Amino acid sequence: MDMQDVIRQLNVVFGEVFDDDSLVIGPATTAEAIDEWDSLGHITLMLAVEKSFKIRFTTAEIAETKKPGQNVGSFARMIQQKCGDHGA
Amino acid sequence: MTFQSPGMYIFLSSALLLLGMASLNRVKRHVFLALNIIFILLVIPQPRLFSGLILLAWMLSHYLSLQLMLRVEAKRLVFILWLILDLVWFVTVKEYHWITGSFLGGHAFAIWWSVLGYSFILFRQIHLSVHVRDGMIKSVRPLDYLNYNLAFWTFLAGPIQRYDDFIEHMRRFETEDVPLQDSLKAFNRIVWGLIKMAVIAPFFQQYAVITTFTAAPSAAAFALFFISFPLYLYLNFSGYCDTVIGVGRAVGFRVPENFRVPFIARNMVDFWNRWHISLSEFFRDYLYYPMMVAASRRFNPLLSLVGVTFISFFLMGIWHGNEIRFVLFGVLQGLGVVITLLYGELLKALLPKPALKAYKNNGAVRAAAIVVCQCYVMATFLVFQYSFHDLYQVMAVIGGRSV
Repeated sequence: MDMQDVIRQLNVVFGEVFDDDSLVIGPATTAEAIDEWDSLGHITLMLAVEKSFKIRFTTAEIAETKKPGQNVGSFARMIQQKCGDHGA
Repeated sequence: MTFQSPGMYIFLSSALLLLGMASLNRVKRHVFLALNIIFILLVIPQPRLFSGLILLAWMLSHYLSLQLMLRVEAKRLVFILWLILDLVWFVTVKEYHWITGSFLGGHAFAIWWSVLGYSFILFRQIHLSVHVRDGMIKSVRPLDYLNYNLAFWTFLAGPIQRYDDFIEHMRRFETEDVPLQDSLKAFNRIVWGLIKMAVIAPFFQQYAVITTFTAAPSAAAFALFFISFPLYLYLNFSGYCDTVIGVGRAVGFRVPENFRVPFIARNMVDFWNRWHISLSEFFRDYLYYPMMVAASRRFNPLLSLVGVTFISFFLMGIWHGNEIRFVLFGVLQGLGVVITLLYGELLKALLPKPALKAYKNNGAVRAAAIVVCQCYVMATFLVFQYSFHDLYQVMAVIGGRSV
């Protein structure tokens, strides 16, 4: 799965989780740019991403994605690596 | 030696001077460790050597558990065993008699010495262990481990810094010169922190004492009493943080921020995003998130939200101190956060997106929300500050009875 595919699939998940079909995310998008991406939104997002990509995040990975300065690009790389690890 | 004693400022000035002089990179890291050890020997209880050896033994056991996790497949098992032992150690050392009394026989295990900064080292250890267990940290060198846990600027009361963040800033601290402008900003920050701690905080401290009035107070006198302890606590703690952030910056090391104007928070979630930020983030990342993810996979999302929020704040309350009032403080914080979250969900369900946005941006709504939130925050700090006996007296004062 290449980065483009991951970002494309993430766009669908983000649209569903944040109930906004017009939402377009790219590698540079951060949590601060999306109003609903708060602590609660983060949990919903993580669970939806796990389901969509058929992966499981660890505690450290969930914490890492909410770290200041993290963006969708680094999140997508993590997903890509996990998909590779699980042969998805 | 306390943080506000003259000896502390002699130490901090000497430390800044020595770190500034240690221009060779590898020497700097060792000078930093030597300063950290001197600092700890100055602040830990007597007999210092014994207390220091106990601290060292405790850290060594954690370090060995990290090395084991880095080498074996059964990382989760090593992590669980270490965590159980460490938490038993924590409640024993910190003398949580209402917990240990049930299975350790009251004071039988009460240890006469205590380790300052223990709670904050515990957080750093848990963070490190989780990230090593989950494969996010691949190596931990002894010198880095010691400097991370013993850094004199954050040893006593944080802020809690992430290991990768610490290592990154340590590298910069070793290799990059500090621009003059940054040094001046650091100096300003230290001075401002000292003013907050030594001048403004004591002003409010004098009004935060229950005995300042013995009969029914005027509304103004009660209002001053009501706001004084939270303001004192904020000024004292954020002043300490300003000072340690400034000390770090003076030598080119960035210590994370811990406060962001908490008294303009509009709800309890907002408040905990602004108050003792590194603590909130720790509980969010290592307790709230994993529990929420696990609970949401099994239970109703609303039930998970309420349950996990209460458990997180209950444990945060326990962490604050070994008396029952701190547990009550945690539960009240949890209640405030749950009400905020449920109210937010209700608004989302009732209002279309543009109306919800307009509601959030409305100035009158914001002002009213800030007032309600801050009154709640300050009321909960009464529980934090006073024993139940003193609280009864506070209630009696509110009721107009003399105490």
